[in-house]
Amino acid sequence: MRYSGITKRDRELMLDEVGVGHVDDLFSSVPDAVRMKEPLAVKGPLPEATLKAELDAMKSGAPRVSLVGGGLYHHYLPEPVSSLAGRSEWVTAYTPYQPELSQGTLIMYYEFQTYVCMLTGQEIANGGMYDGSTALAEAVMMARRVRKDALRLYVSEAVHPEYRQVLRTYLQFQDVELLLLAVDPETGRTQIDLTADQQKDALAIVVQSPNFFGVIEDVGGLEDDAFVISVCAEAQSLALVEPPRADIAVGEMQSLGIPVQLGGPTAGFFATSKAHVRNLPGRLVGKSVDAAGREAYCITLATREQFIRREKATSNICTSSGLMCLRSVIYLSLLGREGLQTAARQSARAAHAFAEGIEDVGLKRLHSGPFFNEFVVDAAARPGLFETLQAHGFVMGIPLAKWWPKRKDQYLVALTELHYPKVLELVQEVKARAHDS
Amino acid sequence: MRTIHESPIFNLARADKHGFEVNHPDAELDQRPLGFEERSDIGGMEQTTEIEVVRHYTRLSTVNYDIDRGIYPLGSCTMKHNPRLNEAVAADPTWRDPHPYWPESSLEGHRRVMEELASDLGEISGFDHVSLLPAAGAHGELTAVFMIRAYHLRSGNPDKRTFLIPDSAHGTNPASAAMAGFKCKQVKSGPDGYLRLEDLEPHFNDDVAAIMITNPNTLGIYERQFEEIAQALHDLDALVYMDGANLNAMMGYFRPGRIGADVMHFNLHKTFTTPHGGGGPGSGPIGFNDKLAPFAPEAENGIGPVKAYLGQWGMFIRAWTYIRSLGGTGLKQASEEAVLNANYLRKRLGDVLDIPYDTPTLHEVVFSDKNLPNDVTTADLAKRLIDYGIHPPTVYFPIHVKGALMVEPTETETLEELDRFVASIRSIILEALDEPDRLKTAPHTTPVSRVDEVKAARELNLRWTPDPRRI
Repeated sequence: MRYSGITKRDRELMLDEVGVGHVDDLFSSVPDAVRMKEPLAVKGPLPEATLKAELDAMKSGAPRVSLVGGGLYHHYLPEPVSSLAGRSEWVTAYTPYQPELSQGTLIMYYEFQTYVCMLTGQEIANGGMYDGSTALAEAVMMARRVRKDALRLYVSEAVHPEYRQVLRTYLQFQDVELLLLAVDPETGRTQIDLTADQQKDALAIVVQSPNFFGVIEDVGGLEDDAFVISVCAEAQSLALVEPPRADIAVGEMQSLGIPVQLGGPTAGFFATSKAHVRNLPGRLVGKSVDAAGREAYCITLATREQFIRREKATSNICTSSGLMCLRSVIYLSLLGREGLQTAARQSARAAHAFAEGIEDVGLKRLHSGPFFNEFVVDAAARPGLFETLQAHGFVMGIPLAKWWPKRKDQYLVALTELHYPKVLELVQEVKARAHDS
Repeated sequence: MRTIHESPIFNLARADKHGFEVNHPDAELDQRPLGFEERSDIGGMEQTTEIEVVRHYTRLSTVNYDIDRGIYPLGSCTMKHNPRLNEAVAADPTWRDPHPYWPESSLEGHRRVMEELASDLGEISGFDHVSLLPAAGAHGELTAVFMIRAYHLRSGNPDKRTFLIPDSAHGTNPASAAMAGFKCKQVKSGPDGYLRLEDLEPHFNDDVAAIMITNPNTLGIYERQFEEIAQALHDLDALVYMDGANLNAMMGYFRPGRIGADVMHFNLHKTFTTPHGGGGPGSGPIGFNDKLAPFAPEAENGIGPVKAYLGQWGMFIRAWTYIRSLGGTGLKQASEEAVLNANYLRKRLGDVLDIPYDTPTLHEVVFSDKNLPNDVTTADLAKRLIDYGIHPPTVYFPIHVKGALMVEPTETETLEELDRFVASIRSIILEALDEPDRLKTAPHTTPVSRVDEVKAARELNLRWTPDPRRI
């Protein structure tokens, strides 16, 4: 067996030491009736070279151009990120339960918490969630703990549709009433026409910005005592767009140094104010000192966590998203404010230039509200153009009919700094195909 | 070589340093207004240079312990070798970069890997259905708990609200059950370390929704009444959840889906060698039978998705690669040797450490600090083990064993490494007799000594802030 640690000789020595004749005897506690008689029908073993060749034969072709976003974005991945995060000292370590052997991982989480606070403008953040969608679900669960009697949850229709589905899954056995806030068809912004009392009494108001349609929301009109949960699925936007005021800020870190990899694994972030620290889900790392008075870090407030508090824990989360948090921390350290803002500006400029360029062939932006790097195109004037482009390996966006059957001919288009150097060529290509069709 | 003391990178960051540049600017494009007010400051974020970043994260990594350095015998965590091949395959851009919203024709290869992985997990566990979606083991538990709730609601049993959970269970079990609104009733393990039907029976009534059993349990003991217990629960129209954390003990030997479990989770980051990464990402697929299939996240009228997109793809391809590297015979041999290695350690240490239960064990063994001299505790022994260059086993778990020391070596350790572990423990026990203080103040060789956890919790400092004295 590949990766086996012991040899035939070792095995005999060890069986001898243990005092049994055959290794099956070690399974004597498993009743015979329960034991498998037949071999496992699992393909293999394959040697490394054969396995790689087999995988190569299974590969499918990627689009030549992709303007697909919707919560996951192809940003440039700087070489130092993969190189450093690929060090086995990071990859093959466990959760840092023994702080003396885990200062590296612990300081990394402390840095992650700090970066999330910087990005969101919040006071405290945890050491990461599975992803943005589960971070939102956990935020609402936390709101349930903080605002015990409130049961009415308002969620913007422009929150990522998959996030909303996950939220419904988590809430389906609770008394919470989930109400959708409609989107203004003109601006693309969420219409929050709730009275002061409705806001005050709500469990929470959930708004995503930039929202799923790419439009930057304005929650400035909300009452001070409304409990706001903000979601951000394109973390790069936080470099340029002021985060909305929120009681809990959650989102997806994928844009900051994490590959798309079909949507997982990524990392979610979760930030709030100090007042809520004991209600936070997930892991927290704090700064302390060691026995000699030296700066040292450890997991803290573990009394909120499942391995101590069991059914009274603030969440069941154990293994979360460490390596992905590491990637985002290295990415942010490498770019700094300057590099991050430059990349974000280039994403936004690419998107704005593209939106303007394709107007010439009748592909209009659906909404008038401000946007960062993603927007909805109304393609009704150009039926079939998206399909034609796709047939040529140019995937120009996500058909919104996937979630909203009535939104025919509407496509969600995203650009990033990867498209910035060639955005005018992309516009030309769309125009050329439009003239052909 | 002395370890350089490393503090958070923010202490090196300055406004006049330059960050990584992705593209050169384009003067024409950059004239365009963006139509929104730009944020100037990002909470005080500044720049560091590339060499500083490289050195900082290299130095930090070296003050970590990792499997590539030596045995990592954490019980219940299955810290086995993480093959380089898996990492290489997962990092291949063709597998790594696709987007779930791309046209299906671009994802055929990924779909095939996922279908084959699901099918293999089904074969290994004896379940006819597998959902790959959950993000980690606890998330798989939560998914299953939601499915169980949906099952009872649709069967017209809304009052089935109680989960029976043995005292030996992982903390995630009751925490997951509580998240779907279930009440948890803790059940005591029997005197031989396994769960007895007679201890469960007093709790049997109409509101029992399910039991959560880890098998082999967290003592490494096979639950010998598993089938009877499952039958009794089914007679109550309750369900059996099996915690699959200890799957490494059973591949090719027995299958939970065939002995009465209705649903279980897999930890791809335990049994199937995807890395632990300092606390994730994991991947926690679940297997289940026909009874629960209508409630799966993917089913038309199921519970709905528990996570956006398609699951932890990066872990799927690693696990697929591992399974193909071993094949059915190799997986069985892995379990066999995991059990042999654990029993070898049990035998070699059983004369110096207390084994609270005499019952045979499979892939892990739990000792206690009962016989340690001079009031030396499990924590002291564990911390001293660090000075021997070995990561301590899981300590103080399971909670029903006082001073527990839970050891799981896994099959990828060599006899030499197992013997080094044995020799280290035996040497420490001799030290405990002569110089207990060396244990009580351990570790002595790490970049930091014991960390003041009370101070960390009392004087919460959860993020870096600029030192006011800094110029």
